[in-house]
Amino acid sequence: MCGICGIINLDGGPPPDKNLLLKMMGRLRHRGPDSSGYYRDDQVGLGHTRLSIIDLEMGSQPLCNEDGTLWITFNGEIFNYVELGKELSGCGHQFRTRSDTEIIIHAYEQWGVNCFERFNGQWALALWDTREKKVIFSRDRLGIRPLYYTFCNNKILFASEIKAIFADQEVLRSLDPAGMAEIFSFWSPVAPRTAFRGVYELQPGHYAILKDGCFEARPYWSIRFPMAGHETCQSESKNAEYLRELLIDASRLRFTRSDVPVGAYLSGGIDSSITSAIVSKYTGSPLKTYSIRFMDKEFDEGPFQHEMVKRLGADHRDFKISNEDIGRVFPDVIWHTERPILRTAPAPLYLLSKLVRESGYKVVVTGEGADEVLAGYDLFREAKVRLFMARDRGSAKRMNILFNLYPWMVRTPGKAPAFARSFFGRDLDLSDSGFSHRPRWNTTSAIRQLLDDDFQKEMEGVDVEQELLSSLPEGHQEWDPICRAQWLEMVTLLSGYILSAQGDRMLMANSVEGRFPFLDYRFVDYANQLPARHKLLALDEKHLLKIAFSDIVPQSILQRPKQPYRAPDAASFFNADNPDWVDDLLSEYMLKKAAVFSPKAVVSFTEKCRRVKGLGMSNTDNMRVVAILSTMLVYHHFIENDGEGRGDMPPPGPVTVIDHVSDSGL
Amino acid sequence: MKPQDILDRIDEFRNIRTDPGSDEAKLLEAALFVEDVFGLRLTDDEICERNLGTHQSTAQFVLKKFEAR
Repeated sequence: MCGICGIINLDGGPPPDKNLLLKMMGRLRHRGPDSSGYYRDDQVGLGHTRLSIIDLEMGSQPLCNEDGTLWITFNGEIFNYVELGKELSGCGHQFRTRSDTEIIIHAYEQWGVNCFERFNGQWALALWDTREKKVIFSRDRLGIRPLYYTFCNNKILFASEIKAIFADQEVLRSLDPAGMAEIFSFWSPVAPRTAFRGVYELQPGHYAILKDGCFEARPYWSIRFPMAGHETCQSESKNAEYLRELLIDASRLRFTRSDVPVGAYLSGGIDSSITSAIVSKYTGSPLKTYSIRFMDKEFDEGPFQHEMVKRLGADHRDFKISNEDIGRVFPDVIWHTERPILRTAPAPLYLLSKLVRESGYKVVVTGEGADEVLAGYDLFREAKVRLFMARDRGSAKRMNILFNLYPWMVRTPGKAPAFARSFFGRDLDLSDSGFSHRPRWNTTSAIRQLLDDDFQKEMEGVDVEQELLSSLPEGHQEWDPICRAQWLEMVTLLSGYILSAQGDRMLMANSVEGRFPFLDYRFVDYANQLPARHKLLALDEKHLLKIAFSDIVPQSILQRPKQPYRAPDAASFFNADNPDWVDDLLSEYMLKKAAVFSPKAVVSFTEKCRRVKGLGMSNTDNMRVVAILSTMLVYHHFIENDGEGRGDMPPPGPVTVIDHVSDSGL
Repeated sequence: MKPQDILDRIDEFRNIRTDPGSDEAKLLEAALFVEDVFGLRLTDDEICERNLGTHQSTAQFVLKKFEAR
C-alpha cells in the first residue's frame, strides 16, 4: 500500500514542477514511509511513496516497461498477480521483479484497458503511455483505494489524498455545497464529488483516459443484481457451499500474498470472526489479532472477542478506549478523513491501526464489506419491516412488527411505540426507489436545520437524493427491494465512508494496509446473484454466511444480535476533559468565518450539549455534534490553513529519481 | 411455484425460527416471510395461529393459496 500523486501538463507549458511533486509526495509520507520515488519528463510527473509489502527489494516505483515507454505509479495490491504473471509469461512477457506492479504494466501492454477486468485486488494507479501520449487512471471495483484529481491552470493534479493536491497553492480551496449536501444526506460524498469544490474522485470500478487534454472516465465493472425470482441457483445448501469456497479462497489470497506478516482485526462480530477462523484453519499461519475495547460498556464487545481468541488460540492484543481518547485524537482523524463525518467511529480505528503498527505489523485482514454484500446492516431489516407495513397500510396488525426490531436494545421500538410508528411509518411509498434509505436520509438531513442560510440555499441547488436515484441501473425496478437497498448502500456508504473515512484513511494514517476478503470481486459478484432471501431470510441477516461457517465459528457469535460498530459521540467532546479545540472551533467568530453553520443556532445547540455533558442525547443530536465539529475541523485544516501547519515533511528516503528534465528547463 | 420448492423454502425458515404458536411477534415475522418469499399478500385475518402457528400449517396455508391462484 502506498501513496501516489502526479502532475500532468495539458497545453505544452513548462515541465511539471519538481518541488511541487516532492511536496505532494511529502504529504503522502504516512501512506508509504519506507521509500519514495518520482519520474518526470516535459509533460508528466509521477510521484510515489512506498509501504513495501511485496518484493521488498525490487518493488520501488515509479516503474517502467523494458524500453521505458510506459511508466506507472500504483497504490494497492493485485492479489492474483502470480496467476497473471504465468499467463503473461506464456504470452512472451519477461519480468525484472516479483512485484505486482510490474504485472500491471505487462497486463496493460497485453490487454490494454481491458486488463483491469482481470485484476483481483484493491488499487488506484496512473499509467503514462509515452508512445500514445496518454495517461490512464484506474481504481478498483468497490473503491477500496482512493484517487483524487483536479484541473488547475492547464494542468491536472492527482493524488491518493486531497491534502497532496492542496500542496499546490493555486488550487481553489472551498467546500462544495453539493458534496456537503451528499454528506448531510448519505453520510458521504458520492464520487466523483468530494467535500471540496473542483476536486474530484475517480469512481470505483472506473478507468479514465487523459489524451489531448480530454479526460474521459468509463466503467469496467458495475454492481448488478438479477431480476427477483430469476436467480441462477435457488438451493440454500449449494449456495452456502460455494459462498464458503469463495470466501476461503479470498481470505487465503489476502493472507498469503505478502512478504511481510499479516494480522487480523477481530471485532467480536460474525464477519471478522469468520475471516480470522479461516486464516487459522486454512493457512496454517500463526494468527495475530487486534481489537478495540471501550470503557463505556454500551459499546464494548470484549467478551465476544475473547471467546473467539480463545477458540483460535490467537496471539491477541487489544486496548480500551475512553471518551477522552476520542476527543483528543479527533482533529488528527479529520486531517486524514478530509471530509466531515457524522460519527466518531473512525477515531478508535485510527488508534487501533497505531497499535498494529507499533506492534511491528503493517498489513491486516478485516471483515469490512460483509454488511453491504450480505445485507447485514439494520437498515436492511428496517427496510423489510417497512415494506411489510407498506403493503397494507390500513392493517391493524402490521405496525406491531416494529417491535421485532432490536428487542435487546435499551431504546427498543417496543418501549417507545408511538415514536417508532411515526419514525418508521413515514415515506411508505412502495414505488419509491429510495424507500429503504428514507429514514436514514431524513435523520441525517436534520443537520441542515443548523446551517447558515446562504450555505443552505447553495446546497438546495442540487437535489442529491433524486440525482442518486436516477443513477440506479436500468432494470432496477425488477430487482428485489433488498438488492436495490444494497446498491444504494454500496454506492454511498461503502465506498464513501466505510472504505475511505473509516477504512483506508484510518489504516494508512499509521502506515497499515487493510485487506478485505468480503470485497473480493468474485465473492461480491456471486453474492449479488443470490436470491435475496439467502442474505436476509425474514429478519435473519447474513443468513447464508451463518450456515456456511457454522462449523468454525461458535453459535454464540453466529446467533448474537447484530451490534453495529459504534463509538461514543457527543460524550467524547463535552466531558470533564473538554478539549480546547472544541471551544475554539465553536466560537461565534470561527463559525462566522467558516460560514457553513448558523452561529446562533450552533451556540444555542452546544450550550445544551455542555449542560448534559454530551450524555443521554438523541441519535440526531449526537450526529449533529459530530457533523459540526468535523466540518469545522475540515475548514480549519484545509481551507483556513493549507496543511503546512501540520508539518510538511520531505518524501521518505531513499528517493528514486528518474528525471528527464534538466534543471535549466525549469 | 412447485409444491416441493414451497416446502424447501419453508424448511429454510424452519431452520432459523421455532413454531410461532400464538406469539404475535413471531406470527408477524412468519407473515413477512410468506409474503416476501412467495409473493403472496395476507389479510389481517390470515395472520393468525391457525395459518402460521406451526411450520406445517404455514406450508399447508401457502400451498392452498397457490392452488387458489
